[in-house]
Amino acid sequence: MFIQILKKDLKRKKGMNLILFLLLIISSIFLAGGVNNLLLTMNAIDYFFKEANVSDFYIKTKGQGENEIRIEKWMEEMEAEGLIENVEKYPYLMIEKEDNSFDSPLYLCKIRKEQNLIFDTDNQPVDLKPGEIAIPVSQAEQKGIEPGDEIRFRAGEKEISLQVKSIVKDVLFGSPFVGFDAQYISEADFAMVENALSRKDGGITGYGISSSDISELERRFYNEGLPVFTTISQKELRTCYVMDMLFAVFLMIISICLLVISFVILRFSITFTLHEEFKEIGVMKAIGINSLAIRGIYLCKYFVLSVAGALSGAFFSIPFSDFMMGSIEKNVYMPKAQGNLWLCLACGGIIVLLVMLFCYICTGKIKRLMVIEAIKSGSNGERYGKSSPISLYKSGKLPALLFLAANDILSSKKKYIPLFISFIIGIIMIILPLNAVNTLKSDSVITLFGIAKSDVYITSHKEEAWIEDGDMNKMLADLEHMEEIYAREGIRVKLYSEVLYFPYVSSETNKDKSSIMATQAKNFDTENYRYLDGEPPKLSNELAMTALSAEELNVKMGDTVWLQFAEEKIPYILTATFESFNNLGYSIRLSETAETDLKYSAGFYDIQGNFQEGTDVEAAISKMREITPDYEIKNTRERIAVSLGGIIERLDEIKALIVFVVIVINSLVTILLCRTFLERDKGEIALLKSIGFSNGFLQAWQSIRIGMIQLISVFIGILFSYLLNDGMIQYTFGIMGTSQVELNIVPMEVYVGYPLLVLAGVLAAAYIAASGVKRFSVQKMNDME
Amino acid sequence: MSSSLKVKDLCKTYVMDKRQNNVLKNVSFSVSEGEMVAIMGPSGSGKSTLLYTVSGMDKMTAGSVDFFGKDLSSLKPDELSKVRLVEMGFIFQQMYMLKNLSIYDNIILPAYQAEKGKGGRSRKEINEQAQELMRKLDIMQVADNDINEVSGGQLQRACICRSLINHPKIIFADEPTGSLNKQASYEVMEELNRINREGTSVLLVTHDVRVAAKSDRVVYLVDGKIEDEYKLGRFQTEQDIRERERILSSWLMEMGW
Ligand SMILES: Nc1ncnc2c1ncn2[C@@H]1O[C@H](COP(=O)(O)OP(=O)(O)OP(=O)(O)O)[C@@H](O)[C@H]1O
Ligand SMILES: [Mg+2]
Repeated sequence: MFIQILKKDLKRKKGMNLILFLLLIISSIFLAGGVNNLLLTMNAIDYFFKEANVSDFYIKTKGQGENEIRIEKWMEEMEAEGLIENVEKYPYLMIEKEDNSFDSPLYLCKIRKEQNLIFDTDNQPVDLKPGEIAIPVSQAEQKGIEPGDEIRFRAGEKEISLQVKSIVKDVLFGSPFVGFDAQYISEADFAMVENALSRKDGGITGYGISSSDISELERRFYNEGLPVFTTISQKELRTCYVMDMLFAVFLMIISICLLVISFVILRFSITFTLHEEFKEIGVMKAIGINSLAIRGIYLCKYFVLSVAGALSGAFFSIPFSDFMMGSIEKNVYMPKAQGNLWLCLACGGIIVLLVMLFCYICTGKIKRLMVIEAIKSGSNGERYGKSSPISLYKSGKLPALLFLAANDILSSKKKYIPLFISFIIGIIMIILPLNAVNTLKSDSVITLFGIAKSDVYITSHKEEAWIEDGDMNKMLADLEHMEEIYAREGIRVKLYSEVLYFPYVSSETNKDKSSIMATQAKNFDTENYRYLDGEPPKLSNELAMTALSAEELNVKMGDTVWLQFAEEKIPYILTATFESFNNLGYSIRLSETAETDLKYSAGFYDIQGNFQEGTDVEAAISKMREITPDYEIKNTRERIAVSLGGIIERLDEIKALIVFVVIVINSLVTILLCRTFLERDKGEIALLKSIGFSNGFLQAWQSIRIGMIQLISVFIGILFSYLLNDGMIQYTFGIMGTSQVELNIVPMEVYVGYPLLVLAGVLAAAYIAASGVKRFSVQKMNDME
Repeated sequence: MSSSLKVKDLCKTYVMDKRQNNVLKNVSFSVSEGEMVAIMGPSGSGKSTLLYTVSGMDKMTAGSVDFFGKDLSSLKPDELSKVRLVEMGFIFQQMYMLKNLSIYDNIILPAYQAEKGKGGRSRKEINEQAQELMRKLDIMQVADNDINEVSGGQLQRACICRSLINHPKIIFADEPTGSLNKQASYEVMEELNRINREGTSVLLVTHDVRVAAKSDRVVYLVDGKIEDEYKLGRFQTEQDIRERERILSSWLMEMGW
């Protein structure tokens, strides 16, 4: 009999059981997908770095031959001292911009075997045959290159054409923040191109170094003043992945939201369906089936349903998770969700357990349920409280439709809580990341690169010479000369340049060896930067540092900090703290007058310039381009585009993804809950229908209700986001090293546009779901309690 | 007297699991303006189905229903709804009302919905009418109660108020007294008779001889066909009732009731 009741139940209440089944699937997709994403994103960058076996330190020489020999000799010494454990050498062949179809210099190299490994889009090692070339994701995105495209170039007398085989995840050159490129070709092609190139010094050599004491090695390296192009430590490389980290954080937030939504839906569906059964429970009790057996029947039913639902959900969560991870996975090597089948199954198991728990608690009432009560007052044996807080009679001119919808929400608020929660979370899920994305897209993002915002950014090709000469005065003279050239044409621009150093820094209480990036702006007052606290450094022995650095060094305002550029330790006084994305938030700012030696500099940012007040920036910039056509001159937007390239597009992609996911989730939840409400209200719908309310009215009634809930949720969501904005976004940016970002909020888009879009989506979903009213006939009235 | 409802060769077939169930088979009858007709018959004979089909709630399989010159089968669903809303009134056995609304709101809801189309009736007028109806049916004191805070009789009288709020031309009632005790039944029938005397046609389904005895005519339905009908004539005074009941009972006995 047990089985028979169960079988009959599953068959007869097909509608409700199907809805419950779908809700179970959805919540287990969200749970498994959410947990999976959470685990994947939490360690995404670490995982990538580990799988790719990133070198501790990477050096790129200037040219080959002489310089190469010097550097290799130094590395041998370090190896002898035990500071270097292993070195992998990567020769590059450079093809000038004019000689290729790539629209920037090509740096061809062989596929790395030990360190800094590259992977194709399916996370497989890359293997190239002659005639093929592989390109890192960031460059491909920036230049719009796709597999199958052709890249042509000339090496010496030879015209060569290669076909793009794959777009690769390249830990070393994958981030546009790294600032230099590479392209991969087969060994045979490499040998061929190398032979064809007549100028041997057209090449460059890179070294991947693994070290046991990286900060000591770095210090020794900078002290040596070796002829290198660029260097990058693993720590610095990590900072280049801020964007990917940010995406990961977005996904993490979304995943947590999904978890919450899935629990809410789960609890709702169990309590709802069980309450629907109370009448039957009463009947069963009346005909003498004991409570224990009844409870058994239901536990059994929900067990069957939840196992089926959770299993299918776990299965579907894999493509769902893959889809969500798609955007971050593009650039970063991450384990595929398939690998986590066990995790999905575990999440499915959790769903089953939760269902059984909710069910056990709910059916606990069966024993206490009086037969009469259940049969007489139907649903849950409770009397309805005073149910109408508003009255149609007093509703003024309000149309009956709107009144009914509002009255429903007000008289059974509890039943709509799952919708409220899902919708509010959805809105927050849109607003917070969108504010972050917009902030990243704004001009102020230039500070991400540790560059102060200015009117114009210039690359003059003089910078290399400055470092080579190591003469600060020469640099200042050059800048002055440039200013004069422009002034002659009527453009008053003040030029400056920020020089980078990596000195070894220590304090009274923290004598650990570590190098921190220090910047010094020449020709630019330190007052132009923003500070958290204190006075901008002015005297030659004053400096400012990020709050994070100060914390690590355990120094307060007025304390002494020692910087060691060469052999000598120089004391400085800390006068201010500031914040910066740069270098994961660890950096130092020296005063303009601090005595530094260009010899020890690690490089430059662009030459930057600010116009005299009242200048038309764009007009001045185009005039500057005419005056000095061989300089690259950019405004802030263009400067950001150079560094961010494809990332801006990816930000838009992320934005679209978030909005899409929210709309889909909200619509799904809406459709399912709407169907549930339809099931619950079928008696009333049939009644209204029979006394002459049209299908249109009934459909509108059912969906406007949902629309109202969404609308209220939008307001609550905006309120919450407003409160959370600072905290959450600052936390997000905090991960990248700063916590005082000036948010760029676009109210019309974020607070009006997208919420309206979501509202429209939800309304459409509700309207479609509510079309079920057409099926109801007067016979359904008998289902009314 | 012109007829308000003319049913001709009405057929209704339910198809369940490919099995056809001919519930109504060529039913023809009519209800004159201001007439009260009772439908009787054994359980399962198709009485409710007949009521639902002629009132346009359920689709007819064949035949025609003429309602004050309108062919119901030719109306679009929305037009049909409109007719039901403003020209028909409904009373059911179980006293169906929206549980989130008070008694009063339940009564005025159809009128508020109909106000736009009917042209002219203001909400104030609707409320005045609702209050008048409720006073007449003696439920003014429970106007603001929830539907579970009134007795069965009061609730059924509230349903009558609702069915009358749009001044319908006809009232369909499916066992309006079926779940009421003797006294409550009596009161409800009083009201129906009064409404009927004021000119509204009534088509009601009942199992109760005492209820049927107050109607002008009784139609006897067996297995989806009209077996016979009996003209009782206008019910005038309470004195007649015993006699009418007796005559009706003996006729029903003949019918095999
Ligand atoms: N929606 C439906 N689908 C299929 N068959 C139906 C449906 N509604 C009613 N029937 C069938 O139609 C027949 C007549 O039902 P109906 O409800 O009209 O009877 P009734 O005369 O009102 O009976 P009672 O006096 O018990 O109320 C029954 O045999 C019933 O099984
Ligand atoms: Mg019936």
